[in-house]
Amino acid sequence: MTSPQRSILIVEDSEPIRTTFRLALEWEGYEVFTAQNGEEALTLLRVIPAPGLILLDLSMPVMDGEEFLSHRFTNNSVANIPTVVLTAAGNPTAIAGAEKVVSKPIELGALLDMAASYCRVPQ
Amino acid sequence: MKGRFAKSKLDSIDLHQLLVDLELQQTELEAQNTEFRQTQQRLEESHNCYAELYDFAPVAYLSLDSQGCIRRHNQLTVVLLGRQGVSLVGMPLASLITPGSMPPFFEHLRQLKLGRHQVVSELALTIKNRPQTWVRLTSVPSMVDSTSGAYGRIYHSALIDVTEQKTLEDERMASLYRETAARAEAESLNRAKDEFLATVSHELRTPIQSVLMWSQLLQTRKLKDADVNIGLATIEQSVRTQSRLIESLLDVSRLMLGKLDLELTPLDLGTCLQSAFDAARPAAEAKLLRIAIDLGSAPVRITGDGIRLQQIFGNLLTNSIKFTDAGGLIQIAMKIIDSEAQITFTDTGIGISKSDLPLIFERFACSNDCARRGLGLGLTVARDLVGLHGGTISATSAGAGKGATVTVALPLAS
Repeated sequence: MTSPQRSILIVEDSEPIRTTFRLALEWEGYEVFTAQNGEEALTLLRVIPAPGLILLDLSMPVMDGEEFLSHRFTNNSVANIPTVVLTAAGNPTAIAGAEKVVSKPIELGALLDMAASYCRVPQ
Repeated sequence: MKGRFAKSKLDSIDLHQLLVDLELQQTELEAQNTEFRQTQQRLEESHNCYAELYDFAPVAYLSLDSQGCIRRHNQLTVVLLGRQGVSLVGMPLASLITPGSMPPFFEHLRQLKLGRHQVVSELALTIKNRPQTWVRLTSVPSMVDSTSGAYGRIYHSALIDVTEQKTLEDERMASLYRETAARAEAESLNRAKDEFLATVSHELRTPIQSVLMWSQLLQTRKLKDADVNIGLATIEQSVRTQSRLIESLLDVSRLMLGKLDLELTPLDLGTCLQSAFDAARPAAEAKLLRIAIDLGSAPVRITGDGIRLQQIFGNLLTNSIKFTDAGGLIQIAMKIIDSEAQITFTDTGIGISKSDLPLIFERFACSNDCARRGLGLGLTVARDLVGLHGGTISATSAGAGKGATVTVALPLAS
C-alpha cells in the first residue's frame, strides 16, 4: 500500500501531457491522480488522501492554475501541499502559493528529481 | 404840490437805487444763466460722452428685464445679433437662443433674480444667414433701477462673440479625442500582438513536452509493447498538432503579405464539404457531439481551390467542435440562393456575445475563454480564403451560451 506522501496530483488540461506525466511517474512507483482543471482538482482533493506534491498547469479551462492556488488557501488540509507550477508560458515569474514555477518542456530526469525531492522515494 | 414834489424826489432816489439793484440782479442772473448754460453744456457733453461710450462701445451691451426681454441696447448688439436697422427693444433674447442653450439661459436669469451680482453663461444663438454663433453673456443687476419698474428689475449685460474660440476649442477637443482613440487602438493592437506571441509560444511548447518525455522514456526504459505504442502514437499526434499550428501561422503570414495563390479548378462544392465533414467527424464523436450534414441532391459547381476550401470548412468545423460541449449538435447545410452557394455551420456551443461578434474574424482576436482558444487564427484564415474565392463569411449568435451560425457564401461557376 502506498503512503499519502508517495502520491502526486497532476492538474493539466492537455490529455497527452497528463498521460505522459502519469505513466512516467507511475513507472517510478508513485501513485498518481489526475485532474483536467482546477475545479476538478479541488473536488478530487476532498476525497483522496493529501498527495505529497501537486503539479499544476496554469492555462486551463473552467478554473485555471492561479485561481486554483487562491482557492486552495481556503482549505487548510490542502493549503500545505507543496505545489509546483509547470507552464508553457514564455517568461514564468514567481506565483504566490507555488513552491516554484518551471517552464515546459521539462526533462524526464528533472520531473523525477522533483518528485523525489517532495515525496518519499518509492521502494 | 410840495409834498408831491418831495415824494417825487424820494421816488427818484428809490428808483435810482432800484435801477442799480436791478442792474446788479440782471448781471447776477446773466452770470447765473451763463453758469447754467455752461453746466448744461457740460452735462450735454457728459451725456454725449456716455451715450457715445454706450452706443458705439466696441462691445455689445444690452439691458434685459426680468422676463429676459431687451429694454435697451447699443449699436454692436444690433450687429452681433444680425438685426441692422431694426430696434430690438421689447424682443425676448430667448427668441434667438438655440433650444440646447435655453436651459442655461433661464438658469442665467434665475441666478440674477436670486441676487447674484454677476452671472456669466455661454449660449448658442441662431442668427439668420449665419452659422451657429456662440456668445458669452455677462450680466449684472442695474444699480439705478433698483426698484421694480414697469418691467421689473433691469439687468445690464455684455455679449461677446466666442464662436471662433468655441470652434477652436471644439477642434482641439476633437483632435484630442482622435489622438486618444488612436493611441488606445495602437496600445490595444500591441497588447493583442503580445498576447498572440505568448499564445503562439504556449501552443508550440505544449506538444514538445510529450515528444521530449516520450523519447526519453523510450530510450531509457524497457517498456511493454502496449506502452511503446502509446508513446509512439502520442509523439505522432503531438508532431501533427505542432505541424498544423505552423501551417496556419505560415498561412496567416502569406495571406497578410498577399502571397497566397489559389489553384483554381472547376469542382463540386458538395464533395469538398463531404471531405471536410468526414475529416472532422472522429474529433466530434470523440467529444460526444452529434454532427449532421445536408448537401441537397444536385452537384454544386464552383471554381475554387479544393484544398483551400477544405481548409476553410475544416477550420469552421474545428471551431464548432472546440466551442461545443458534449451532447451538443453541429449541423452543416448548403442551399443555392440566386447565383451563390450558401453553406451554414450551426452549433449549440458557447455562442458569441454581441460585443465579440464584430471582432471574431479579426487577427489575434479570440474568445476570452483562453484555454479553449488555441491560436485564434482559424476564423481569420477562413475569412481571407473565402475572400480570395470572391465570397463572403459572416457569423450570427443569439448571445453567449446560445450557439452560433457561420455562413459562407461562394459565387457559383458561370
